[in-house]
Amino acid sequence: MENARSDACGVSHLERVLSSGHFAVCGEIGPPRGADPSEVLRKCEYFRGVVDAVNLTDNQAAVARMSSMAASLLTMQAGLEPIMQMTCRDRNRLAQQSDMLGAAALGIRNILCLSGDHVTLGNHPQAKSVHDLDAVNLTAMMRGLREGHFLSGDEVKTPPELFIGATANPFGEPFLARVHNLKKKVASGAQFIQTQVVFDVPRFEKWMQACRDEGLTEQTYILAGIAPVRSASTLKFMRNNVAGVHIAEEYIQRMSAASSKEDAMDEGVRIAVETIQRVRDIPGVAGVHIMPVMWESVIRRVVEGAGLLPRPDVLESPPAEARSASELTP
Amino acid sequence: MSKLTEKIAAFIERHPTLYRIIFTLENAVKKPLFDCRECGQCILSSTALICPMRCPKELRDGPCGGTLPNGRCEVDPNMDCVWYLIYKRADKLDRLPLLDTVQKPYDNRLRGTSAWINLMAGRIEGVKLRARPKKRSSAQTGTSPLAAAETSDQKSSSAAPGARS
Ligand code: SF4
Repeated sequence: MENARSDACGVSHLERVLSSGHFAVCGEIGPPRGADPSEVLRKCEYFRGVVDAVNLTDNQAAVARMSSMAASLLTMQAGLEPIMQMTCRDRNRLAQQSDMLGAAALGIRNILCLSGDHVTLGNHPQAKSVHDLDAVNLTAMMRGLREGHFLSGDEVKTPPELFIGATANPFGEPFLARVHNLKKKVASGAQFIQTQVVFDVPRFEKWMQACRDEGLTEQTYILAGIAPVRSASTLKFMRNNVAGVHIAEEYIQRMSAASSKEDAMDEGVRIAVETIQRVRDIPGVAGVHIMPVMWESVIRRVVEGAGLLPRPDVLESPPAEARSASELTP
Repeated sequence: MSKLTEKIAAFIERHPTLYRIIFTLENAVKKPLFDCRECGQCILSSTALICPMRCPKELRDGPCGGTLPNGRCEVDPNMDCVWYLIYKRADKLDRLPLLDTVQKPYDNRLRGTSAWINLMAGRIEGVKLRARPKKRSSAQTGTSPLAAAETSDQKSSSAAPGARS
């Protein structure tokens, strides 16, 4: 980042990594569809020492799973920093605020606000889809909590310390909406942004250019989404079934050309590493968010391959004045 | 709104039959024209006269991440993403700058009430007649995203044959 600061400050490790100008690396864990904590802990082993923080999804794809907050706590117990995801699909503004306060009380500092896949796409299509707030308003509400007030205006007795994130999809249509959307989220307090997976670098570059023109890269940290895939069929599945993913034909061909399973896996790693290196060269990209699709064990290979190991060791406890200094106000 | 309109609104609200007549009139205009969903907190004037409450997620601040490449909705691929339509129409009407306004959180108490009367009562914000003038210098607003949007819009409009306008 051009505006990199040499001193690490922030309420979370991730914020300190970013604010000190390091290229950040995030991972992602989907909580299990059961009550066994060891599944989360086992996955954490792959990520420890390899990423700066790890996302815990919130009923991803509208499928009921262990809660993001509980999985975040387990992640912390395993010595990793969590990024708790919170969608607008399952909770109204009351539940969102109370969950945030609860999460902060447990020590969770990073929050990622998103709208969430619609209930009809998941395993309980009969459910009521809440969508009380949208992701923009959710982001603003989280900033409000940090500043000491509920959405109602009432005072929050002990405001939570938060590093607030939001998502962006550079590949959806229409293009301008994708820039506006980010602008609104940044104006509402998004301090970091995680993007949809990048399988079309030119389009991503074009979106980054638009973000730079709007001055957004000066106000928020943009982390590009990277997805290592193990086979051509996974890639095709993503293209056909995951909303908002855009995959350039070139990658499908490269994955299909692999002669064996191992070959395909190697190619998947190569594509991920190569994409990281390409997005890293784009001005304004502050890090990557790596989402291995059902393939957590690959994370070390990818991060190592991209030359991003070892991960930086930033201050454990930030100086007292760090919080205000770290707030990126638009 | 002014004190007078507030008084009129209060009067109407004390008379349920009168309220119903006005609300029916409003619906008679807004339903066929804008496919209005009676949210009672109308923002049609800043969404290029397309009701965003048709979105299955009722998003009032722009599209979700799931809009399909052909401009259809991720939830129901048989319908166009309303935000795709809004951006296309806003571009045509030269009202794109209005689309980066952050909307207030929706007040659920207003669902199924008359937006006209709510407007008179001062419960909701007024109508935006013009796209707000660009505040920043052209260097900052960047003509490129707009230009980029135009080109990508032209491309995608041909890719979405079913897109109503
Ligand atoms: S694709 Fe468009 S209409 Fe469908 S849920 Fe997303 S924003 Fe709403």
